[in-house]
Amino acid sequence: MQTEQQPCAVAEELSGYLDNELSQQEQQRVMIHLRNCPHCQQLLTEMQAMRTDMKVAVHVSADTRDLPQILGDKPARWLGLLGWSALILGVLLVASFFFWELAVDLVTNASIPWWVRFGIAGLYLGLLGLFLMVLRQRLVAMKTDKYRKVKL
Amino acid sequence: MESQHPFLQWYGGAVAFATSLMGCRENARDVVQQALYKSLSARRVPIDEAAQKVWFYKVVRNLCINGLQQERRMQRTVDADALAAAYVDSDEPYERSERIAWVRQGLAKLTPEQREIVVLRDVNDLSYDDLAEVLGIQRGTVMSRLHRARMALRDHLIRIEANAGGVTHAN
Repeated sequence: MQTEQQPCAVAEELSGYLDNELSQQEQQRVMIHLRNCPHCQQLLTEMQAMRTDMKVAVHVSADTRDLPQILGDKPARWLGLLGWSALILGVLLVASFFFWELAVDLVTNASIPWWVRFGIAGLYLGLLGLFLMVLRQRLVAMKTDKYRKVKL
Repeated sequence: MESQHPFLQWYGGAVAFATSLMGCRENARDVVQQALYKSLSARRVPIDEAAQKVWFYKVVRNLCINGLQQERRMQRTVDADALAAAYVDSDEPYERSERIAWVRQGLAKLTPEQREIVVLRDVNDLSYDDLAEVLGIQRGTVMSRLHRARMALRDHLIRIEANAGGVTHAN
């Protein structure tokens, strides 16, 4: 009766014992306790049975119909990669050509006063800087795990 | 045919885990498919298999949380009876014993937090270190939470069994 009312000191460690996750010392302690505590012995057998039942109750066999769908995505991935690299290459080429022309024009074109040319250069450099800042922030946000503290 | 991708070996277990969180077999399948797609297209995946397993279950869990948040916005909640039914495999070869049905009902009555840890440990065989990593909790918390979940499941089972016994006696 007393053991029913008062939980044993090893109660929690019984789970660890079942899962084989205790240190050798703890394991020995639980083993010794189990020898003279029918209540915990009973609990351990019940937990073992529960575990076996749960495996049967919950496990899903991999559905073969799902697999081709999953593996079929490989070519799409390659095409995506190819598309993205072509796009980035194109944008880089066009942008560098544009900036080169702009820079040459700003340096050599004497018909516009120097301070206007200076202003235009500042405008473009500023926009570029802001874009890079946002890009960096986004990349950092993408890499940080936002699920750490989520409560279900 | 190319060789099986390492992630596919956890497919069944991952669907079981996702079902435990989403409460619906179809949504769970979608989530795991999405997770597999992410894993196949991710550039930086851990190299050794143990770390891959942890990483994969983390992806599945995060996608489940996303899905649940979306459903909550639509005012849908997981219903215990529907969840117990969702565990039933559509092509189960034969009628399972009563006891298995009870275990499913008992699992459905746990809190999501308890359900996920029990399913990850007992169905998917994650070690305590892996559990701590996937669930984002301290390793010391794993054993106590797991034990509490198991005791809760045991209590539910005793109650369900008693109810069923009472019904059969009455008949």
